[in-house]
Amino acid sequence: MIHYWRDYQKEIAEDEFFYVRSCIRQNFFPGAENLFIDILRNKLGKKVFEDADHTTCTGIGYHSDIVPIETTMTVIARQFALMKERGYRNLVISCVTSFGLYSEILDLWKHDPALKTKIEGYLSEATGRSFDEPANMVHASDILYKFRYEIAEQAVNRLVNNETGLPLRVVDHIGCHYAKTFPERGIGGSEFPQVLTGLIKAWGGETVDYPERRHCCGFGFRQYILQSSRGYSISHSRTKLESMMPYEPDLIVANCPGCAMFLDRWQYTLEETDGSVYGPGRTKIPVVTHEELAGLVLGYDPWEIGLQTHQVPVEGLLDKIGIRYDPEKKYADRQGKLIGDTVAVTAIV
Amino acid sequence: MMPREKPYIKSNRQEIPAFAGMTSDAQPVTGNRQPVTVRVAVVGGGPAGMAAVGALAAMHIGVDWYEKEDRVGGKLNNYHQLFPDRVPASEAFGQLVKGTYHNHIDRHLGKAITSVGVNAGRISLNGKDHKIGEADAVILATGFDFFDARHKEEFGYGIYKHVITSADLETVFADGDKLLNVNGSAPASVAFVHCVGSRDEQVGVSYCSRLCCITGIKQAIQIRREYRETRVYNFYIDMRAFGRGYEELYREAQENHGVRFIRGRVSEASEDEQGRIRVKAEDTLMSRPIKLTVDWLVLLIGMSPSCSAVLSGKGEREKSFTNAENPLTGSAVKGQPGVFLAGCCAGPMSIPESVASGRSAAVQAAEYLNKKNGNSE
Amino acid sequence: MKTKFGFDIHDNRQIDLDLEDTRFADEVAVVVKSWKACMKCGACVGTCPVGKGVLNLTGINYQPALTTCLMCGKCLLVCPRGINTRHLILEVMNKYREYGKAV
Repeated sequence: MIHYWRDYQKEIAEDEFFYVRSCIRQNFFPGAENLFIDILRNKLGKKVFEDADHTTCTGIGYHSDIVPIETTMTVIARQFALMKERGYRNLVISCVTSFGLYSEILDLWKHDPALKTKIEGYLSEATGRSFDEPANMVHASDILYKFRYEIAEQAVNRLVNNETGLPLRVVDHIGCHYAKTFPERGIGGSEFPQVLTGLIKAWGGETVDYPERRHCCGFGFRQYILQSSRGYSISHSRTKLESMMPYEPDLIVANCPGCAMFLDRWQYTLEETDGSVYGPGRTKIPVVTHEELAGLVLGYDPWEIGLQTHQVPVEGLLDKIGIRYDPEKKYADRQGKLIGDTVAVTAIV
Repeated sequence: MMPREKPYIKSNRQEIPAFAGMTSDAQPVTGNRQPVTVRVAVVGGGPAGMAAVGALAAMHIGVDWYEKEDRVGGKLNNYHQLFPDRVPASEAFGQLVKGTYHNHIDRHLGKAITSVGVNAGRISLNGKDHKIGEADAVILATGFDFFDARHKEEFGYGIYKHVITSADLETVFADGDKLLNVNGSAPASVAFVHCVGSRDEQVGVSYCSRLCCITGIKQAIQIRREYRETRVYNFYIDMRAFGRGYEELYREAQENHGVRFIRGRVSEASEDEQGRIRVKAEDTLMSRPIKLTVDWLVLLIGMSPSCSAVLSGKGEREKSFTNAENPLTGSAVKGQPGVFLAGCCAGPMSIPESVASGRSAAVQAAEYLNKKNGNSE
Repeated sequence: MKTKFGFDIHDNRQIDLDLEDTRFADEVAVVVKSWKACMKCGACVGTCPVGKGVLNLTGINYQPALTTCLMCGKCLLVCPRGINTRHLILEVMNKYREYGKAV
């Protein structure tokens, strides 16, 4: 059976989601996941459950050859068990690495049922739990894609330049493990992925189709984990940024927490290293996640959803869209007390 | 081939020559009107079908000739020049079609046969929902379909305007159109990608389509002849120049036309900010990745089967080339007495091979009928 | 570099064919036209007694190893495309001298 990109569509559940968080996303984009849950519950009226007992999927350890695959499978089987115990069947995964890993494990079990039986034994032995495979398993960006028009109906802001009235030029970056291993599990497949393009178009922007669009962000677990190998990682990010530069993009949106982090943080590192900046007029290009993009469209306060934790300042983007914000409150905590400013974070070695 | 608009190509399409669109009274009919006792159906009006009907008629066998389009010639009608001698396709068509103006041949244009049935020595030919005809034997010459290049998503066919297929390029040449760059001037560079839809497990194609290498060589030369300053690159996995004069044409392309052959498969194509096509590949002889920007990327598409659907009534997805019972020595189909294969429905073939295959099937059908009617010596 | 992070940014090994300069190779081809027929089979390098890969026809250019050529002509015997490899080596060195660089 051969497909081409329009054939890659997937079933996305309507309601009743069991949500699993991402290690990287909750650390580097601390507002994003609460924002996602809030949009689902309060803007779209969906039922979302988050289990306090949920753990990492071990993705970083697994991809760095630290955690053996049987351990990873058992940990993931435990997440399935938590979902079963709470009476949910539709799994929503925040992290693209996790999504890829969950998909890979289900595929391995499908081809080797004895392996699944073995893991069932391990889980039962270690925790006394049992699990069912999810009825529907999607990435969080798939959910936003499914409800993109509902979000557009409630939109306070559109992805349009406030002054010129032209659509914002948005670079969409899809995490490699979203569709490259299993193109049929990604909307639009892996060559012409539609999952973020769909959001961008529905909310008024336009996608930039630049030559290195499919290039890995450079995350490459075992590359960035060792300081001496980080050069490989940043070199790939540079390839991408150089390729998108002539299009003068207004922002980058990524559905993978690692990609969003690297495309954001490495812009700072590249400027510090050799003075390169890639946005129009010697600015850096703001990077947001899919949840943050939805949050901006729906009119959330930028500082409430954590945009002050980004390395590349987002104020230029907010001004372009015409979003009001209080510069004084950028680094204020809930009591209004300043918790730091940009000057304090320049000495990173 | 998917229909494509060509707003970017200046059209200069000539009127179709009179002989290209054959009607039943277009040419004087030859052959004595002798009573014929047996009738053979030939399904398909391309080179193999034309060769088969001509040979059958010459043996005084009555022929019912079915073609789904309203003219015969098949894909030959859309070709410009044929490798390796650059004979105009219209000339080859003229030679083949001459033999088909014969008293024994009844032409049924616009008739698509979708299945055949074999029952007690009689063959029934069926359309989508009704029976179209009957025969004592049938030669299937249903040819091939071009591989749908959209399935090789990484090349962006159907998405990027400047990615075309070899079939598209052939119609550009045939129509006398210009292949201009985004600024309306001669292209600075053109690249050909070999093996698109051939030898590729990603799209479920295990076989080699054989003719794409030489098509790429021929078309590369054509571009160099028309645009002397254009750099032309061919990205290949293996060069398979197997036929008469093919290797010589390969060398001519290198030595006389300066066509660059790079061993390495293009892995990805994307559009740059000017609408030109950026390709990535590895030069496997230098063991280094390369990047190249071209004005046109031409995908040398392979041949996909279009015939066994007729035989078995299977759907599109299950298509495959049909195997003869003894593929080394004959073209009879196993378990279907009276059914013979000709041309590309049995596998990728060049035009001379298709013609030979069509004539061969005609002889085998005649032998079969002789034996069946007790006339064998 | 302003700040040291403990790692370097690498250029990749990609060859940018858009920037390729073929003038040298084209001029050599005017004299030894047949070299363009090279299909990179490697027979010349395989048979070379010097064993340094004297001829690298993947892209004609001057390579220092050319100076070690013994002019024995073994490569001439094995080329399936009949390229005059001896002539080619001499011409590459001549052309290089013409370009004003000592060989």
